[in-house]
Amino acid sequence: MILRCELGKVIEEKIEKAALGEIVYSLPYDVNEKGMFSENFFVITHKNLISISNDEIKTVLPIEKVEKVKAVELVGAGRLEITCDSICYPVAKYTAEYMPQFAMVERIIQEILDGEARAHESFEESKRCPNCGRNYLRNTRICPQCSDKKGMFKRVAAMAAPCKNLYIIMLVLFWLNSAVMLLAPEVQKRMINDAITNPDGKLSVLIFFVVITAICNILTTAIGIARRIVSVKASNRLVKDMRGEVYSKLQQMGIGKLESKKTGDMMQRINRDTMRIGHFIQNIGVMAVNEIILFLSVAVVLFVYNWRMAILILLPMPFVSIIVNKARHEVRRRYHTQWRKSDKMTSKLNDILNGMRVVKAFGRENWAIEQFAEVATEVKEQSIDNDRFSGTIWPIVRFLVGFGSYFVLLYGGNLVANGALKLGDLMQFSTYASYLYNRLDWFAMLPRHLSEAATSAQRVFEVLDEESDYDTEEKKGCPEIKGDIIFKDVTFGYKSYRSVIKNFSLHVKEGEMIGLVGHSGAGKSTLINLLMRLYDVDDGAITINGNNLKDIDRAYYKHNLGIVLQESYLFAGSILSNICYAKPDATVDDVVRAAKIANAHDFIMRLPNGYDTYVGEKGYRLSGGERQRIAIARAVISDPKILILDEATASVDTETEAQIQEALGRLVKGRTTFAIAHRLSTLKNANRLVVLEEGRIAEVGTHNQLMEKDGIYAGLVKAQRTMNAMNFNADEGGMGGRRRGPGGRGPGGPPR
Amino acid sequence: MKNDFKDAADVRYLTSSDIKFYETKGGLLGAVLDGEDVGRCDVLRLFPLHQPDRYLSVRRQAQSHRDRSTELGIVETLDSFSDEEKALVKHELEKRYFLPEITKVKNAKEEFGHTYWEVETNAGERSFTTFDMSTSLIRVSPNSVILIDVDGSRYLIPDLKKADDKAMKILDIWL
Repeated sequence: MILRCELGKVIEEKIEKAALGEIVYSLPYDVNEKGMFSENFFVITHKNLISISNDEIKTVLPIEKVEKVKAVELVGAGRLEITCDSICYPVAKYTAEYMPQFAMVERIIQEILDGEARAHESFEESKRCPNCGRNYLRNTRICPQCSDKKGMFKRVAAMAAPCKNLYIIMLVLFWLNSAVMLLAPEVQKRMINDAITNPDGKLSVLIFFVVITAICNILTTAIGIARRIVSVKASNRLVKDMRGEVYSKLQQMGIGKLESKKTGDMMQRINRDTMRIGHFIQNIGVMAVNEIILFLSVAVVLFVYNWRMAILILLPMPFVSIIVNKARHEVRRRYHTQWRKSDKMTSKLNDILNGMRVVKAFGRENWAIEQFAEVATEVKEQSIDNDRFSGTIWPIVRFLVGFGSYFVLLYGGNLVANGALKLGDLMQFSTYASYLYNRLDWFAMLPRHLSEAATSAQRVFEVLDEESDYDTEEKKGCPEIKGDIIFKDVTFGYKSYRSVIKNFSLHVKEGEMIGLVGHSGAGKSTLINLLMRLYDVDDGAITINGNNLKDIDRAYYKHNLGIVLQESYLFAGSILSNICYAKPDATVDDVVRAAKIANAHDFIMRLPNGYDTYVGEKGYRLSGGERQRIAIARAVISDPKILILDEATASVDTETEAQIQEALGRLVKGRTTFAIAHRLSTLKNANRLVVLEEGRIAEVGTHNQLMEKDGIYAGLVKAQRTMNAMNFNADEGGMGGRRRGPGGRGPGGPPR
Repeated sequence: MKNDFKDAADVRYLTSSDIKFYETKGGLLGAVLDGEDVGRCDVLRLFPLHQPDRYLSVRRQAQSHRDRSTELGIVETLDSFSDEEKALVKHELEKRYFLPEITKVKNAKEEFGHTYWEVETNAGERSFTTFDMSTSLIRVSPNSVILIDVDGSRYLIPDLKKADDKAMKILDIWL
């Protein structure tokens, strides 16, 4: 994001001349006041806000008069609106590309208005290549135009170095293969000239040549098999090495970097891109070297034998290669269309089948039939059309590819008839010619394969080049963690220009339970993420028993943290291995105790395979409440001092919630606990409730105190009561409403 | 029953006798509803893609941060309004729904699932990138499409029949 760009002499002088103040920020934007694309600038000086279009100062608003600032999101564009003296001015208009920048402008001006001005620096977050201005490939920082492809291949080669010997063997095999291929037509020529067309030819000579031909074929086959075995081995090893490297790199990245990457994209990089590189090395890389050598040597041999005929063969080659290329392109395009249409059919089918109950309920069966028939017809027509096209075009292309041989036949046949050339020579010639033409297709595809492999390699290397968040970390201390936590002026945002947590300060005492309350988007989960150290704070600090969280060893800290989330994810494996996840060296006693605390032991014992029950995607299907209790056991097994419950009971029915609540009640005893819950009754055990609003603390206190205050919390409780009254038949007693928290803590009654 | 359905929700249709539009001092859109100045207001299209000029929701701007804007009513058609008002509303709509029309495709190249466009529009020259045509192409009528670039900006191709070959080669598959 650019916050300080070059304005040029002309503009700078104009600003100076008009005494508009010292330039603090200057940003480019792209639409002028007439709605045309042009080069514009928005400038913040220490006195004024200025918009500039085509080197002309358009608006000047003195900061002292500014009342309100807003970067309004329009459709596909945005507009900065500034209110001065109760008049709202649309100061700058920009396309979607500049929206993040102007969100930042809004923040900067707001900070100035609030008297909290801070210095912001430009930072790299651009989606465009600084070199050519093109957009990077999605989710990458790769510019297909400017990337160094040669360098890429060097790096791939370096990665392939450990199996260098295999590649040498591959090359040797290729050369052997080429040698045999060059030799075979020579043998054929002699067989024809010396044994077949020669009236004095002896049978023994013929047999000799037939045997040699057979040996040649056996050799080619054998070399082909060997080559395949070696290349498969080499490429698979490379793919495995690359996958391993990418994967371990991912594990070392902080969650911030990981979440900015899409799961699907990462899977593609680990799976598809590495495979493409492997495929390239196996089928193309080494082969390319060889094919080029073979192509050239065949051409040389042809010229040496008879240059006139060689020219006849080579002459049509450029035309044929253009035609082949065109045909391939067109066929690909057509099949792409067909593929897209059948894709559409599949999703339509999926859509209607999934919505079958709705279709039936509204009696729209005929509509459903028509809808499907329509797309099915489209697919049918496209498919017929394509098959007809490719059924016509390929035989024609094949005819054209063999076209050169007609010239050879005409010219060579004439020579043979006149006795100037032997039949064998002619045959040899046409065999060589067919070598060349058969390779044309392959060569035509080469650039495409090359650039595909280069991009894949780049995508892989991009991950490998990412700075690891953990490597750079020095060995940190492991001070005792008791659970006394202080948030001091904590500010944080996932994007630096949009703070989610603002100046958050709170002292949480050892063993205290804090309930976090607020509308969705208020910053509750973000606060928890900071406490879990998935992200580091931008400003301020979190200290634990006097030690800054950043200075505590990451692994050690996490060992002291127990986490139960709304939808607990259990890994594929036994219940035992899932409970032991946070403490692999746990004893049986630990496991059973943890399970008992979590109210899980009894239901586990009812399963036929007990603790050995296999859970996960393909395993035993646990209910939501059961899964949650295993998650609680997993959280508690390492006896953490700090406990985080993020909507731990949101997705279970009220009866199960009671059981889980009981387990949680046992769990929070003596541990500093942070709990988030929408169902406010869940927070009845909390010592203090913290109400968040737009990242700031709005209210703090016990349930009773906050109810008395009649503020945001009281409003939320009342709203839920109304809802509960409407669902009067549910919930009675289910929430364990009349139970008091362990040790009689917590605010009197739950908000019901 | 029929009346119940109609009574269950209030929809107010506005004509020139209910509402007057004017330009605010800052150059934005303001309105007077039933003789009362409501100040700045927004105009949103109910059907931005298929009926951009009809059915407009006139909304009073949110008064505070936590507020949402409220609908004053729906203008079905601008026909009854004065030329001046029509121009004002249209201008506001054009600003909100920024949609340059592509008049010429100078270059369109496909690489790695991305398409790099160089075009001339009625708002000037522009180059942009689209990714994954299945989501970045909206057909608004049998003959016109909207392209959405990687940032979210939109571009209209008003008439496919007149579109350049370079564009059609790429769009063809997706239409």
